[in-house]
Amino acid sequence: MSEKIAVIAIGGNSLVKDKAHQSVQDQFQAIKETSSHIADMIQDGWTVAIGHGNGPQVGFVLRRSEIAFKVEGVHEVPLDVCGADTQGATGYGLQQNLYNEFLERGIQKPVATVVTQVEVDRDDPAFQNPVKPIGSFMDKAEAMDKKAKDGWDVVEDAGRGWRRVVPSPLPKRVVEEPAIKQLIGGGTCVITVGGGGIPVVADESGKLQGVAAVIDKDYASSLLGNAIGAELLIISTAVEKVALNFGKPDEKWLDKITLAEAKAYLAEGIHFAKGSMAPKMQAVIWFLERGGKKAIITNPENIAKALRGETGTTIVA
Amino acid sequence: MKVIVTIDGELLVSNVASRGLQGQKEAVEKIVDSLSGLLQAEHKITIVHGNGPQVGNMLFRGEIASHAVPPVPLDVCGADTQGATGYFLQQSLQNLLRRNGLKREVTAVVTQVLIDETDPAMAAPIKGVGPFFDVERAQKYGNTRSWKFIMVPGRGQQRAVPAYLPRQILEINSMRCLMENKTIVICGGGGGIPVRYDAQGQLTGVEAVVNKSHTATLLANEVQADTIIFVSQWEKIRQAFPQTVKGEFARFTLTELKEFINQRKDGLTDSMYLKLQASCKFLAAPGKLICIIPPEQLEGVLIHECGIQLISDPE
Repeated sequence: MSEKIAVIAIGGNSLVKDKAHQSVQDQFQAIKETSSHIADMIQDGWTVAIGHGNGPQVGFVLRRSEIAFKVEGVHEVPLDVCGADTQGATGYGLQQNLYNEFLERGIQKPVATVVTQVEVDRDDPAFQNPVKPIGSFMDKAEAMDKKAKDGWDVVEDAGRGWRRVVPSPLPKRVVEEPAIKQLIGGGTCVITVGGGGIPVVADESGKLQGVAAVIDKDYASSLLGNAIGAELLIISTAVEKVALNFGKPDEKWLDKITLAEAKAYLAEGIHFAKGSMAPKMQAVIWFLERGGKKAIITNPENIAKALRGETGTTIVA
Repeated sequence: MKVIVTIDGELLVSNVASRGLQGQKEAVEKIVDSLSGLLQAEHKITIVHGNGPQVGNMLFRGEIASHAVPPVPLDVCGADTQGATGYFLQQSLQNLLRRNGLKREVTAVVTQVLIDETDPAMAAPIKGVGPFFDVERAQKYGNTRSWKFIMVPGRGQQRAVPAYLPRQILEINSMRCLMENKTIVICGGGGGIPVRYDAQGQLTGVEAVVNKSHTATLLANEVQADTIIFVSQWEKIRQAFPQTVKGEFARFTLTELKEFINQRKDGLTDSMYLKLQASCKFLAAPGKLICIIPPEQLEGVLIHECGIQLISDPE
């Protein structure tokens, strides 16, 4: 059993490159590339748990569901189940491609996807303030109908029409954590917390139930990392490094910073884009505060180089 | 006792198709609640489930929406349903265990299954998936989308897709690891996602489904399970075993079962034939037990004599 445990959170760009490459075959091709970078790490002796995003995929499942309901009356898929669907499909893509990578390299390493629920607090303030747009644009009449019949929260989006919004609460507990630990302990490469996990809440008795919400996958991966005793969190995204004053004349790329510096930069509120780099930095901060040793933010192709300290942004506790 | 519980996909949806996913969730909860007897008795349980209705719905949605959203190949539809049905099953089981004060972990594992490509008969479109249509609509889809159909008595026309027999479960080591830790594993959903090796020796998906009864027996052999419980609708059991009526019980040894299959072959549905064929394989080893029971009797299985019991030949 390996002592070195890492969690790698892979972003949507590892799955859907751009609008012209959205087919399942294209997604598998993108996954194949990312898988080879992950296999490099595993070859270096890391035991890896992989978290992944599912934004575009959930969008596809929802759109299919909407169209099939309107055209043929096929029942619709609720949001929590859409998330479960994408965990199955993306998990399959990852585990098949990793299996092939291991096979080619002669690595004996089991790989498996665990369908993963993540518990959120039913009193999380996010439930009072749903902001995450989901699904297709609607006209006002349809939006009002959904609001009345299905209890959806809907907002008008700057003249483009109406959209459903759902809350994005913070992850509290990875429900399948013990099983994930068993697999990691047995040396399995585990794919988990897909899309941040299927969001569930517990009632007074502890009974779990799915909720219409989305969880930030970097937050969930950060939580998972601490739960399974990972020393390293890698957030794989579209950029090679993190920048201060991103996109401004005094832009400054970061190589290596401390937790204290990361907290100070984030607190300044001007460096990292809201909804993009800011939550990634927050995920890193929480990971390091809760016992993680090191975090790296970089793009998939630079993971190995970043691990050698040659690129990427490294944040240390 | 190590038990593989295999649940037909039809039992994990509502009889009323319009009840949709909420109906599926409730159907899953109902079946899972009747597992409490097995759980209380501390049997080591692994669950394999079908996905006929679910995978067909997913495929249907993908094709209807293919003008707007990339369509989903059948193997990926299977993966989708492993996620969704796995989620329902694992949440229901976790809730049941907590209610009963039992401390066990539960997890669904996405499962790929290497198919047996040497059996040409199996690659035929024989497995019905998804919604039922009237003849007119079936003809329309047959013409416009080149779908094949099978007639399901009393229900209507159902789309038929190729089904294969499984040869190897690719995630078996991970499953063993979980089982050794007493975790209840949900796996092999829909018989598993069918895969094969391509010319370059790379694993690749096959647009088909896998027979879950055979996957269940393959799994049972791999993990040295003693018992397989096939949960199936009463009508289907009664249709196959006409001598049993509700509340009655029948037992066959392997030799008797083989004889029964020979005599009844033409009267058995594909699904039941494959169940019994898979059963014969499992019962070839000594001391094995298979129960084919309706969900109504699941609570008392292995406690009372119920349903159809198939046993290895006495040594």
